[in-house]
Amino acid sequence: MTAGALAGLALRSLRRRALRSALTALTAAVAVATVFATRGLLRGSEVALERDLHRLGTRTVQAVDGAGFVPGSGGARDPLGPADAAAVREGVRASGLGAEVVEARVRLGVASGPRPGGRPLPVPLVETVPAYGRTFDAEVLSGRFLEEGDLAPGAEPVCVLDAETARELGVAAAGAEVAVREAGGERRLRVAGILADPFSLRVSTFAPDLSAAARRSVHQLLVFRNLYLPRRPAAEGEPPGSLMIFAVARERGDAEALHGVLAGAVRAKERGVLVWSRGTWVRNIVETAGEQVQIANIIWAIVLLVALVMIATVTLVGVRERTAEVAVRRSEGATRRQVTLQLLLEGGMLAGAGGLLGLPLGWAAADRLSTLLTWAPFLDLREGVAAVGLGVAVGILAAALPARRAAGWEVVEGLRRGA
Amino acid sequence: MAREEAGVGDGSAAGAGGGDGVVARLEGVRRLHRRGASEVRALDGVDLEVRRGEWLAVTGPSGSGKSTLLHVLGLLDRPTEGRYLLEGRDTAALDDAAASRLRGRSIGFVFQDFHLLPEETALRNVMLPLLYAGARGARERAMEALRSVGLEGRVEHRPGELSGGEQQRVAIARALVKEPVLVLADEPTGNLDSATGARVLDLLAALHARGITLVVVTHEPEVAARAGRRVEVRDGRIAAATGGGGAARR
Ligand SMILES: Nc1ncnc2c1ncn2[C@@H]1O[C@H](COP(=O)(O)OP(=O)(O)OP(=O)(O)O)[C@@H](O)[C@H]1O
Ligand SMILES: [Mg+2]
Repeated sequence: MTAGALAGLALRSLRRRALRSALTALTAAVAVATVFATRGLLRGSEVALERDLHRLGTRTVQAVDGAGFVPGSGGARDPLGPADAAAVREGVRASGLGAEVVEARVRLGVASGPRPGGRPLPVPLVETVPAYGRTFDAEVLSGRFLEEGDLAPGAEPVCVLDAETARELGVAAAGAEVAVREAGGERRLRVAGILADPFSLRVSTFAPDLSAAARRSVHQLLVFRNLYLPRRPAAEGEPPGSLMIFAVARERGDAEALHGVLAGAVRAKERGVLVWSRGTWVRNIVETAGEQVQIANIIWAIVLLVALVMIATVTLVGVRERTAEVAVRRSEGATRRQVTLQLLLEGGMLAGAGGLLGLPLGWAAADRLSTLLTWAPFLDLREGVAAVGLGVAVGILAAALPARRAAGWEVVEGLRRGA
Repeated sequence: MAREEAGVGDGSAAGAGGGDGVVARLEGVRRLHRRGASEVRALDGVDLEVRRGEWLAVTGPSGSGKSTLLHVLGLLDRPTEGRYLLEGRDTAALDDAAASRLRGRSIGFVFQDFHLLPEETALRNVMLPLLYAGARGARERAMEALRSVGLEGRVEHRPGELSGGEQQRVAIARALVKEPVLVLADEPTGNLDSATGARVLDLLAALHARGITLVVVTHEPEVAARAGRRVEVRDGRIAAATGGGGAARR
C-alpha cells in the first residue's frame, strides 16, 4: 500500500467525523496561533532591542577609568591622561584600522534650568568635541550637536542636553539657557541642542516590554542624562574629572581588533582601566534579554502541551469507538503498522490543517496585541512553517498512544464486539 | 509499505506444501481462554484437514468452538497449542505483517453480521483488501466483483442503505475480489430469510465452482447439506465427520 493510499484512507476517516475533526483541528489552530503570535512578538521585541542597542554605537570601543562609567565611581589609581590618548592614537595609526579617536572628559556638576522652582540637578558634564556624536547614534530632537565653532576661543558658551536632562530642567527646545555650577564656579550656557533617547521605542515606563530588563541595565550603565560641553583647556582649580577615550571603527567587524589596540595602548590590565567594546556588550545584553524570553517560551510550550493532552484525549475516545472498524480493516489485510500509520497520519493531517488555520489567527492576534505594546511583532514565513511543524508534531504525538492501543487490539475481539 | 509478498498459492512454498491437496491442516490445536482461575477451552485438540477445492461445512451446538475454529483458520486468532499449517507452511512462523498480508490477499471472510465498514460505500468496502494489498486497478476489480454478485446498481450505497442480503453479497464480493485460495464463512445466512439465504448460498456455490476452497460454519441442516463434507464440533473437538469419503483425523 502506498503512502498516498494510506493518506486517502486517513482523510476519508477524518471527513466522516467532520465535527470532531473540526474541533480537534481548532485546538491545534489555537496552539499554533499562540506559538506563532508569541514567537513573533518575542522576535519583534528582540529585533527592536537590538536595533536600539546598535544605536549606542557598536562600532565604538572605549577606555574608561575603573569599573564605573559615572565619574567619581572609578577606582583606578593611575587614571587615564592625555598621554594615554596619544598612545591610543599612535596604536590605532600603527594598526592600520583607520579608526577615529575621540576624547571626552567627564566631571560631575549641578545644573539648573528655566523650570520655575526646579531643584538643581546633579548631572555628568561631558566635555568633548563634535566627533563625539559619532561614537553613538543618538538622534537630535531639537537644535544641533556640538560644532567646531563652539570650541573656538571666545565662542558663545553652549551645551547639548540629553532628552531626560532637558525634561528635568524644563528645557523644551534649543535656545533656552541653563546654569551649571561646579567647583570652579557657575556658568550660564545656551542650550544648542537636545538629543533623543537612543531607546526611542521606550514610550513609557509602564508600556509592556519583554526586553525592559535589558534596557534597564543599559540605563544603569550608560546615563542618558548628560550635559555635553565643548572641550576646553582645564581652568585653574577645576577638578580634572576622568578621561574617556573612544575609538570608532569604520566597520562593525573591526571593533574587536580595535579593542585589542586600545587595551594594549593604555596597558589596561596592569592599571585596572576598563576597555570595552560596545558590540560585545550589546550582544551580552541581547542574550540577557534572551533569557527573559525563555519565560514567554515556556508559556507557548505549555499551550502546546495542553493542546497535546486535549487532542490525545479526544483521539483516545475516538479510537475506542472504532474497534469494529479496525477489526474489519485488520481482517481485510491491514497490518498493525498500517493501522498505526493511518491514525498517526490522521493526527498529523488534522493538526496540520489546524495549523494552517492558526497562522492567520496568530497573525491577527499578534497584530492586535502590538497596538498595546511598544514594538512591532516580527512575523516571518519561517516562523510560520516552524509553528505549523510543531502543531503537526503535536498532532502525531497525540495520536501515538491511541494508535498504539488500536494496533494492539486482537482482531477477534473487535469482530466479536462490534456488529 | 509497497513491499509485496507472495500470497498463498502463488509462491513456490505454497506448491511444496500444498502438493498433497491440503490447503489447511490443524494438528492438536487448542485455543484456551483464561479468566483468572477459570479456563475456557474454545478449541480442545482439533485435528482437521481442509482439502483443496472442497466445500466443508462445520456444524455443532452453540459455544462448541465453530467460530473459534474459523478464526484460527483465517489467521484472525492463533492457537494456544498445536500446529496450523497453511499451504504446508507453519503459521506460527508468520509475524503480524505476514499474517495480515495473507488475510488480505488469500483468505476471504463472510460473517453472519457482514462486518462491512458502515460509513463506506459498497464499492469502497469491496476495494478495501485491494487497497491494503497495494493492488492495481482496485476500483475496476471491485466493480467487477460487485457485478458478479448482482450489485452493479448499488455500488455507491452505504451498508445502511442495503438489505441484509445485499450486504452479505457485498461481503461476498469483498471476499472474492481477492481471488482467494480459501473462503471462510461463519453463519453466512444466519441473519437472512430463507429466500435471501438461498441466493447467498448460490453465490458461495459459484465460488466453489470456480475452485475456491470453502469452509462454512452453520447450524442449519439445509446449508450444511450443500457442502461436500461435514464435520461436527462439540466441546472444542471434532466429534464426527460425514461425506467427502474421508474422516477428519482423530
Ligand atoms: N475471548 C474469549 N474469552 C473467553 N471465552 C471465550 C472467548 N472467545 C470465545 N470464548 C468461549 O469459547 C467457546 C467457543 O466460542 P465460539 O464463538 O467459537 O462458539 P461457536 O461454536 O461459534 O458458538 P455459536 O454457534 O453460538 O456462534 C465459548 O464457550 C465461548 O464462550
Ligand atoms: Mg459462532
